[in-house]
Amino acid sequence: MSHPSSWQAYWLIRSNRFRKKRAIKKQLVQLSFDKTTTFYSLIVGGYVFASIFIFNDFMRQFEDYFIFIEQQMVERFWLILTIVPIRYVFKSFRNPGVLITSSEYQLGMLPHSIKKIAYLVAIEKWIVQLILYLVISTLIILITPIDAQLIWIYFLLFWIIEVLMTIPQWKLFQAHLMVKLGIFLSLIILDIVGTMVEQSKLISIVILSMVIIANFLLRKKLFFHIHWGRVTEVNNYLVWSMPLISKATKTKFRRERKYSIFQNRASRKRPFAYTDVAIHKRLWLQHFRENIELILQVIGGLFLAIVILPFIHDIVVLIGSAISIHVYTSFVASMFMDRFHSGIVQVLPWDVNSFRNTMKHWSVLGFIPVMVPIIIYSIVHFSWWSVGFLFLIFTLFVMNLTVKMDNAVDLLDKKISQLSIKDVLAFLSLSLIVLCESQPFISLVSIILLAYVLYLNKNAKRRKHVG
Amino acid sequence: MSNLLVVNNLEVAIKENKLLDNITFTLSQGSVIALVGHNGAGKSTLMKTIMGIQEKNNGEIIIEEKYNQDTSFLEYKKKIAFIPEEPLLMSELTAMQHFQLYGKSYQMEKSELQRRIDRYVEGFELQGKLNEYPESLSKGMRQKVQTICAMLPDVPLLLIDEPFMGLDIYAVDYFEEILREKIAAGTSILLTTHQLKRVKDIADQFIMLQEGKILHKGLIAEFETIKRRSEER
Repeated sequence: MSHPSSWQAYWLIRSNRFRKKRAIKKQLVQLSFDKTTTFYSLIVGGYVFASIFIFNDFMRQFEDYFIFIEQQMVERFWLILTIVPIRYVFKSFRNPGVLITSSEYQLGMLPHSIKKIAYLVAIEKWIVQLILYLVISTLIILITPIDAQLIWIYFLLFWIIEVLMTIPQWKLFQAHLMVKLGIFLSLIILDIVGTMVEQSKLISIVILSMVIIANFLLRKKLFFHIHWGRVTEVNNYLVWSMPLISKATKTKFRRERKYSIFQNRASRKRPFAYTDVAIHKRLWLQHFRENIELILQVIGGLFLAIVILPFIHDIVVLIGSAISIHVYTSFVASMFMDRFHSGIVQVLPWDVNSFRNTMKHWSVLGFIPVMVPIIIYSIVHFSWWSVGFLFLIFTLFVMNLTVKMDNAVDLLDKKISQLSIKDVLAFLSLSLIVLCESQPFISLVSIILLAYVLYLNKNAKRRKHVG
Repeated sequence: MSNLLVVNNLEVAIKENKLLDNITFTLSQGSVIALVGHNGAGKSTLMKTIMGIQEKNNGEIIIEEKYNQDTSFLEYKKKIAFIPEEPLLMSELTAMQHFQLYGKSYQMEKSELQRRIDRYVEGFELQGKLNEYPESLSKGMRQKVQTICAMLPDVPLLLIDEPFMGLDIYAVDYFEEILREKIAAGTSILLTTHQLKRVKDIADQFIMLQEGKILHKGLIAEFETIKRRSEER
């Protein structure tokens, strides 16, 4: 009996997936645009592109920047090389890197080897990445004046690291959280030390050697202890999560969670103490776990921004701090609302005030990483006004959070929220942070703001009581 | 009998594509309406819209003549319990924890909740499964857990999308018994079904949907077998 072709079976899935996605996107385009608008939009788009990149000296205006980038690419070559593998270690927290969805996995239940399918998926990924890098490199070479050889070297290295990191990322995805965290932090520390002692080249060679050794050692254990359920769950989400479609159809793509590292603990199975706090805590933890990438991105991004901004200018740090409060509090309010629109909670009655109370300490906890660099900045620029400044920051955070959560509660009750005085006040009050640069005594306003926040809270409690 | 649920000129659309069009009906206290129709007729969309999961474009939905979905949504939600066609259970919660979540959400007393859990768990033969996660349960058991969840609180309106889907014959009989009790106590039920014989004895009226519109409505006794869409054209 001849053996069925795994390649043909895999290709059938791939081509049908492509067709299905194309059909969905086509439907979206048909729903969103009519032919006339699309035709004229394309003409306008083409004209804008031509006027910027072809008929104008647009790129020449940025020549200095390109020269700067080129210099950095040469000088920091080894440093960049050490950073690239860290990206794959970070990705391994949430992404196995080899796109085996439940469809590919089901081929393993037919007369096909899942190992062979996995190899095909990996090879396809490498080829697609190579083509992608070739296209991007060609475009950069055509558009920018950066040395072509340098670009080719970079992209070739990026692609080789992509290939070399496939196995480590795949195996790390299966590893315990602490293993991933340990490797991730070790690499970052190694990188920082290398930069400080100006030995990035050595560190880079060490890291690359470690990656090659890891490939060699892991190659025989590729399919040992694989949590296939988790692999397919993540990949199903990655393949079918289409943000534009989600927005147009008002349907959220969510990961179909089948696995949790904490689930097998006996204490997790015990009935709850019959209180809002105990029940909501589990719901919040589940919600945060589901959105952990986004949470890390937002908080990490704000943290990094405030760490970097002092190197630009003092006033920029203050502007950055004000924006951070606005972004973070908006994010918390959005996370809060999102809790009610997923899973079983969406079909239950919502005691929003109780949910709000049980989320409060998490919101403050999440703000600590944003607050830490601000505190360090204040210590570095210490004066007695620094205490007032920090108090102002915290008060403004609480005030903005209170106002945005009030709005979120109204929106959940389908009360159409209009821009109220308190919204405007909360937003404008953030400018006080910037004003502190020239007039430090402004931080005393925080006392009035605190009184206002207390008034808002009291008012909310009274409303709840009456309701 | 007073109107418990009023659905007036309801319209749901995604862009130009109308999923529900001009749906109007009322449901009296203690009565049961069966929503029937072919796959894709809009039955589940109507359920989800009444639940507030699906946004509507037009129309209004009012419970007990004062709880309008648009103006007092949080109060409105307290009046409904919903059983979806596919269980919506959370991977992170055991069966018992789901019951507790429902109990707290509907502000039930702990002792009353426990009494009802004991009764329904025995009736649905789920003893020994209370501390299991949904993944450890069979599909039928998950459906039982979801059904018990919705049966726990006393709400004026029950929405049931395919009530007997996935349940074994004993569970179906037991569920029917509970539904009759609820109806006798004044609960109104809107359900979708393909098993007309099963619900004929429970339902008072039917609404037949086709392509998002009401094709027929009336007393269940007047209901004729659904003709295939092709035959009607």
